[in-house]
Amino acid sequence: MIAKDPYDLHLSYPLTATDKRSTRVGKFRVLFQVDSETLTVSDVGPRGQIYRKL
Amino acid sequence: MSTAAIAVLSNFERDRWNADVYGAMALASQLSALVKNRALTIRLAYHFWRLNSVLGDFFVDIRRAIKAGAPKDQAPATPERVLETAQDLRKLHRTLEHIYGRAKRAGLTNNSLTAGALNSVCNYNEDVLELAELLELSLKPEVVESIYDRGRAERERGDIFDLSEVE
Repeated sequence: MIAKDPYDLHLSYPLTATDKRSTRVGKFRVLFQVDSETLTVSDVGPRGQIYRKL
Repeated sequence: MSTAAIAVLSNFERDRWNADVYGAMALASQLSALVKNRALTIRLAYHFWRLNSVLGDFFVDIRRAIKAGAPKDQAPATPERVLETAQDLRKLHRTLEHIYGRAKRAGLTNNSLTAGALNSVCNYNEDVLELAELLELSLKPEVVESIYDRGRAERERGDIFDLSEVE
């Protein structure tokens, strides 16, 4: 679904820029980047922890 | 600050934001008391659907605000306002989580009158937490950037998998 329209706000929110986005699958967060024809998943992790593991 | 966070905070007046968030919280607390007092299921169902509708409208406005973007002539929100807003959302999240747990223990997730609305409220509750995280992250863009930097470094090392390989 995201591949069809990665900018759909029902599916993902923009982070620091519109092409860097976050979506949630249940209690997990998926961080991805949209680069012309490619959608790259940068990280997947449980909510609350994905941003703390650095 | 993140584009979404700027847009949300710029397009919501503080009073309207408080009315929406605290309105949802008041409804949820009312519902929690009703579940505790074992109110009639039909009454509970009505209140759950009402809460569901309030949360639904709130997220329609949020998406509209993000889509509209931040007005160029407006000063960005202060870090204090961002934190305060995120804390309000976390409070709403905890209230909704509490009410869902209580309703589940009362068997309302297995009741055809209430289960649909309850599942929907549970879904919106995840959206509430996601929005709180988004606002908090807007104050720490370096955290987001370092996740993407790490992803970029892995890609440059050839440490990548095509979707067909992981499915």
